[in-house]
Amino acid sequence: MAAGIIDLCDQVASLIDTAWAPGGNDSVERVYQAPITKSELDYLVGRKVYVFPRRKLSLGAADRGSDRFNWEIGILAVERCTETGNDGLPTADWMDDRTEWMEATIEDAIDFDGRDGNDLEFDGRTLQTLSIETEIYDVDHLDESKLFWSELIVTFDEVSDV
Amino acid sequence: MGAKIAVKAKIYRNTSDFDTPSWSENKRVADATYTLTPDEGSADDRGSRVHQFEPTQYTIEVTGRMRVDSDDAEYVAFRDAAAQDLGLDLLVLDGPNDTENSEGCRGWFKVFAFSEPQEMANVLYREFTLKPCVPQDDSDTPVKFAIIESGPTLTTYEFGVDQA
Repeated sequence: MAAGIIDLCDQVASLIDTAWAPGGNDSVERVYQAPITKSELDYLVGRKVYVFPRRKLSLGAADRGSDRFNWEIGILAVERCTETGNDGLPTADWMDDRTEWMEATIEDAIDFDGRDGNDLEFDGRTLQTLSIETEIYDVDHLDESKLFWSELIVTFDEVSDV
Repeated sequence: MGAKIAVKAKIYRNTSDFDTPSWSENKRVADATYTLTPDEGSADDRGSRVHQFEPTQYTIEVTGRMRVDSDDAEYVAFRDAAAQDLGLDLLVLDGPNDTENSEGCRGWFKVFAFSEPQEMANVLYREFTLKPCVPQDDSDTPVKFAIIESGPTLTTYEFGVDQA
């Protein structure tokens, strides 16, 4: 039986895959470390999304028959810019497109706020999204390697019967 | 016996007849407090300058928090009891009813508070208060002290009666 956080990571990867529908050299996968070296980043083709397990917080008894957990999942989205402006840097439009994609596709796919039955339900589990924290882009990766490098941490809340 | 821990305390509801109970555990209870407070009757006399007291009537109350779960039969029973003035035949113990020396009380209770704080970030809980009520059946049996004796066997005693 897989650990609860692994199943959740797989579910998050599946949700992103469904919402985004990556094609060509684009991909989304669950990993423990991004399967690409620093030097390989200079030749990266396509947009890659990596889903990581980060933290499990056991918050104790929610009541006498169930426990409460918080699960932290990390998401890294990275893409190398191949069309720069006259200054050799990725254009604002190129960055805008990816920033909007992070919000409208990635964040939206994992935002289960619990309102009107908007819960994440799978394998008999019910979770809600507590928080999404997104570092939109990393200025060092952008300057040095012309990479759109966006890191997101999503925290889910779960009450489950013991 | 080692220390008892509160997470093992139980509130059971009888789903059968009073004399042949069938106990259903309420797993949605979180924190709870079982209060037993006798009234103090003055028993002063000229034989002593020190005030003397005797317990007269007992106030019994169970307060606590219960996680809201409309799919849970025990939560629904409490909810309906609060809304419809229904009596509940309850066994309130500081441990499981199959563990010797679990102790508490048993009898008919009604719900006298069932509030629900609704702050945005909360999981919903009901804050409840239970108090003894008039027996709801022909047994005419008041709330009694309850203890699990060897067997395990549920045994009850009247409050204020010497069991020696």
